Amino acid sequence: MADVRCPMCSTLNPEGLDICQFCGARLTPLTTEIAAGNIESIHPGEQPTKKSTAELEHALPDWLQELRKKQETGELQAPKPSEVPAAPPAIPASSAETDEDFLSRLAIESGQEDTTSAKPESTDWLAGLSASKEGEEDIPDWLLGVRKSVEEETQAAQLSAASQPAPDGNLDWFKRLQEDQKAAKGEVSSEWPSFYGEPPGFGKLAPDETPSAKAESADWFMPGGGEKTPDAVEPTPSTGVTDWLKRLKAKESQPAAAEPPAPTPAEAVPLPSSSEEPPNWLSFKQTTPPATEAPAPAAPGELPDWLSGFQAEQPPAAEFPAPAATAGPVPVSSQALPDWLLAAQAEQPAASDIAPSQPSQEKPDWLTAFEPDQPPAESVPAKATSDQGLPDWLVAAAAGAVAAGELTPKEEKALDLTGGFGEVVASPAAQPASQAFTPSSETFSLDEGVPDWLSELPGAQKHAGAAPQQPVAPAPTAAEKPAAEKSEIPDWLVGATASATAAKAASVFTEQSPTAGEEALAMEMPDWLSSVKPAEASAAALPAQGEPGAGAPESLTPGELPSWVQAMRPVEAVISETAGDVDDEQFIESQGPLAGFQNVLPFVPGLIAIRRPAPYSSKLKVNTGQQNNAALLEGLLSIESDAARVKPESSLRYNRFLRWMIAMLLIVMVAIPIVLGSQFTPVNPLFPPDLMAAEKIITDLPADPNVLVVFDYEPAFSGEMGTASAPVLDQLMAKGADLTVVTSLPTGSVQANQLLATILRSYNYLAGNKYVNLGYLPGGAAGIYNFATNPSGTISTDVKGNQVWSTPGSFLSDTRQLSDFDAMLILVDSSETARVWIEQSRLPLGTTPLLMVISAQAEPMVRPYYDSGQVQGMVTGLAGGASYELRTGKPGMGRNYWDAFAVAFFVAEVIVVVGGIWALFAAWQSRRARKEEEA
Amino acid sequence: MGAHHRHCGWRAIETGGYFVRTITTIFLAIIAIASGVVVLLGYFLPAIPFLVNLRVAFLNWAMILAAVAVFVGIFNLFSVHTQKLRNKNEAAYSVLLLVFLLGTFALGLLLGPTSPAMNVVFTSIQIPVETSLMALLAVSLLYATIRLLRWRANFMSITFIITALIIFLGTAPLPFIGPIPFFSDWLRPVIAQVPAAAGARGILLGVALGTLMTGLRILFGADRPYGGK
Amino acid sequence: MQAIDIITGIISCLLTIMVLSYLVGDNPLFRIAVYIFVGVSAGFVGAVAFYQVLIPKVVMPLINSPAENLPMLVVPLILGVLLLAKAYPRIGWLGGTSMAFMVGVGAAVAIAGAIIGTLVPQFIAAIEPFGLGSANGIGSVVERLSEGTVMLIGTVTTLAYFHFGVKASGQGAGTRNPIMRIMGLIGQFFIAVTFGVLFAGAYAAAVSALIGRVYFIWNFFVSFF
Repeated sequence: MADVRCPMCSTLNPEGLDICQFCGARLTPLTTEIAAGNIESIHPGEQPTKKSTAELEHALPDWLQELRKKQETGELQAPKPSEVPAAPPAIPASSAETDEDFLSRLAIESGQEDTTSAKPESTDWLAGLSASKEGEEDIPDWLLGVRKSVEEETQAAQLSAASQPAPDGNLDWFKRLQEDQKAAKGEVSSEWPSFYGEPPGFGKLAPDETPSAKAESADWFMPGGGEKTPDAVEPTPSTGVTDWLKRLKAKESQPAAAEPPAPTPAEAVPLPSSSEEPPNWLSFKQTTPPATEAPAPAAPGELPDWLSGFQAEQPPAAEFPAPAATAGPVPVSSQALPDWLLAAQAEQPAASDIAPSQPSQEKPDWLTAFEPDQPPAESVPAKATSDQGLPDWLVAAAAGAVAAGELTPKEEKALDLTGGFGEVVASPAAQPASQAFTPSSETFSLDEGVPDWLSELPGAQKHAGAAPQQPVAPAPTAAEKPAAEKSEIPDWLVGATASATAAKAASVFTEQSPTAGEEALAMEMPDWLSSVKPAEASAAALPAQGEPGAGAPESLTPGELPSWVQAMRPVEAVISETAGDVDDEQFIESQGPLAGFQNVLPFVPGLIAIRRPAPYSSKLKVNTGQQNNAALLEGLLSIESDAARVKPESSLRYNRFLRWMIAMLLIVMVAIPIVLGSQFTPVNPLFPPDLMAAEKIITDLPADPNVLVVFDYEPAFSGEMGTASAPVLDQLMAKGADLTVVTSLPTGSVQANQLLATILRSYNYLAGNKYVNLGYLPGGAAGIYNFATNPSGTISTDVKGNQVWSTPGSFLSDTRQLSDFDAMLILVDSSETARVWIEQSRLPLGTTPLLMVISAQAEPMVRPYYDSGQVQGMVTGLAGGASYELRTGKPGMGRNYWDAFAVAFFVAEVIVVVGGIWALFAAWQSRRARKEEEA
Repeated sequence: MGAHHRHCGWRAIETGGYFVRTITTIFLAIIAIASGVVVLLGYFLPAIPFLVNLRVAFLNWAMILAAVAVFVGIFNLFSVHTQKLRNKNEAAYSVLLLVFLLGTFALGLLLGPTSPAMNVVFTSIQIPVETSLMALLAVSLLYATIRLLRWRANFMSITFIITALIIFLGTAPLPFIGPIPFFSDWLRPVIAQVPAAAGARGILLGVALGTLMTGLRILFGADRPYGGK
Repeated sequence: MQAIDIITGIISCLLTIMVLSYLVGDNPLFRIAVYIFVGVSAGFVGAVAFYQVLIPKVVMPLINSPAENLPMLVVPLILGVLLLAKAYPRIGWLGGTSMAFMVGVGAAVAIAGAIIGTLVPQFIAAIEPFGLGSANGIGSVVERLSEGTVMLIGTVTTLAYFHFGVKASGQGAGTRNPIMRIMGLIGQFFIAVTFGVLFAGAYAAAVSALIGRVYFIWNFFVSFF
């Protein structure tokens, strides 16, 4: 492959160019000249060639240099990476040592007790990270060097199973690894998904990446993903777990042109073993760039020191809907930990007792069959089953960590395995950080590669073959699905994204094609995914590499998007997409009477929310100022989440007590006059001018007036509006008015019938011929305008199907337009509806008077229309109804309610006054306390 | 050079998809703009019969579509709660909802929405529940008043509370006593009819201007809330 | 009292109490009542839309209309079917045409309504008190002038309060025009007053509902004696 793909625009450039001829981005890192020539990969079984890395020192990022200094000064007692083949990639090991080599060593030597070497290395590396993350450059050079390697990996996988992790080879390797791991109990190694090294979801599909990888990475991280499509949860050690290792190695030894090895599963990162030696690298408390991975402590049994160090800063574990066992690691992952660290925690329970929590019916068959051989696989479905609150993987992480000590010997072996390598490989839960931003299980659009060997694994085969048929969507879009699915960003996510500096450090944004983005947003599981059988998968895996969607260069990711940006960016794009999705309907009413209830109302009042979002800009360009702003916003967000948590229990109890007291006071006080049947409180005899105007207009109407009545109030307002409108209608009926009822609410026609059948039943309008109910007028303002300009053409029949406009003898037979009515009376509860009716019908009405009976809550907003003369008369609320009754001399419901109404207002006045005094007193008290403190 | 071919194929798909989307977007924008312009011209050029007829037809179609949208909403609700049946915690509620949804709908289709049976359903279920939910609001509003005074005592909230108190005092008389002279006779009407109406007029104008801008943006194709980008 | 009235009354009372039980806290009774309500409400709306819109506006015209009118009837039918596709995410894009049509019509109606129904009349009303020649209004000229002035100030300052335009500054944080800021502060007062009246109105509406419920329950209870 002679061409070099630009990491920024993905355009192919002739080899040898330093700068992309299309976009001007640098093709080769600045350190290329140093690393040139050291790009040969080392195959499993080969010994790495020791190389002096001193010459690379000056080209290394600051944090790496610092890390080396620490090593030299003895701060960290870690063997040099070059001496430890299984060392984590963070150490600037020999430049020639590839991941394959590293992993093969792991496979071979996993039985050897080399955990000590692994731990300090990772510690060292991360310590450097934590120290230098502030000043880190935006795009790690090593990331740029990854590009070429993927293709070579693919070729190698096809040519040599021995030297490259071909499917079979990998499978064998994995089995061997398992055995080794069992033998080497206590050693914990970790392999991190490739999308850690890349900006999660921002890379394109690598040649050897198959959708199965996406499915896995998506499912297990997605809280709800597991429930929806359990099949998508891959327990296999599939996910392109190894890319990051390659990149890390490349970064350290050959930051520029190092050729990362194929995404073999053998790239296990030795982890600190079971909390024996708490690595001090984990003591840093700030997030690190997401691209950096840390070895996950196996921590079976007790909480590592570094974790307890975190705990002090963490919010209480109770915040998470996690089991009690989460007390340990879970809080850690909630806020300050970077994504990769979350993943580390999640690894712990991989093979432990998490599996039982998985609903058995959701476990795919293949998974069941797979379990005996690959214990770690159990954890995957388990983590994917939760759909709300704390992601299950996080819960599982803590649970696993605590419960590890209770494992049976067999389970312990499994745990060891997972703790070593299989844990990470087999349990997608070990990649929480990327989970947060990876696509859902249904999208399968994560760009992480799945090694071919992976597709051979029983569990991985289901989705592996799909690549050829399915356009692969870049992950970034789909990655936000999780965030969109939640009504808000989970706490752990906020915590994970809390570091603005980390965001600054990773400011590389890759290209995303609109098409791919749209695909990534698709919420259904592709058919091909469910149809592909394991047997087909392996055969399809290789052809997949040749597909456009699986093009090797696409897998290259020039940089990484800060996790918090990933969490935020896609939300608005995905919300509309997922509006129609069932699981996305789990929203809670936050306002109104239904506050606090889930799904009591249709999610989509209109239709716009259902629409699929249009593809959006493929490139996210962020400058420093924007990053600062984003960091500020992120800080605000985290503050918000913090503030929400610190509500003391006593305050909640107090608030509830206060609410009870108000409710009791109000109900009892209102009930007293009703029970007593008192009518002692006089109605205010000073009538408002708008009420008098309405009364006068109705009085002045001719006999048997033809009146159009709009019943536009909801049943919730029937108490008030019925009381307010009854005396007005009563007066009209007393004049023998012909009433034509229309409504823009579905319930309006029934409301009209109900009012005429109860309060106004004495006139018996329902049975007579002076009443026409035209029924429901849909379409909002459009329907109202249509009716106002063309009443008979808009609604030609009444609710019984009778032709009312053309029937001879009908009082509507001469009515053709709105101005033919003698008056128009609108009974409305909302100012918005009132406004629309006034706007649309005022002109067609001509000189016909427009009267309104409105709810008290709409009065201020309707009054300007009365002042402007568009409305000629108003009756407002229960008070207006009572006044109108007094005015017309016909006491009715208004009079019956009046005493209770006065009492209720009196209660309100007392509460406001007492509350005001109390507030003043509290303010004075707090001020005094402040002064005392200052004194 | 396989990768190059793959790349080209990928680009071709991207290009094709982009082209289709562009065409779709243009098509939708044309529909929205054309329908809007026809209706708008119907307002201001009522003397052109063809335009008026077209406007009437469009408005009728919009009404029909609005009714169809109701069914889309109902279907959405139905599917949501059908899905929720899998959730054991919520399944009972969803079953209840679905049963009453289907039962009411079937009854309405069989007997008509204004039939006596539907009237019974309406008066015995819908009105009590909705009105009671509204009644809960009374408690919530008073509770909110106290909280507002306790935690947000600034100029705006104090003005807000004092105004509300004056309206309280002026709207209803003291129980068993009668109207409070100054408040009910003068202060309450003045506040409601002058400053409150002034503020409301400002708000109405603001809303109208906002509506105007939003509508124009849609008719100019700058906003396309119907999809497309 | 008829049996149906008793059953209706009992159901109403029960549902009322179940909903009011929310005052104690969220509980299954409340949820049951609300879920029933939502189901009934949705079913009711569906029946109304079918009976009062689709049948008279779609079904009956298709049956009764002459053939030459069919094209005008088929178009909304097609648009309606396309809109139904919105219920299925996979084919939801088909509904884009219907949505575009509805949005276009809605935008036009909203524009015309805002201009004809609100902007022009309210602007005229705002300056109307200063037309001293007009005979409208109650009270003396001074009263009308002062009231009109307050109204005008309130209207303008409220609009100013909603004006969020800022002058770009080099620091990134925009600065607001000082005059607009002062006007906004005055507008804030008017808005607070308006909201205060709205709040009192909302309380009046809610209390009316509460009174209605208590009144109903008490009367139903009394009716047995």
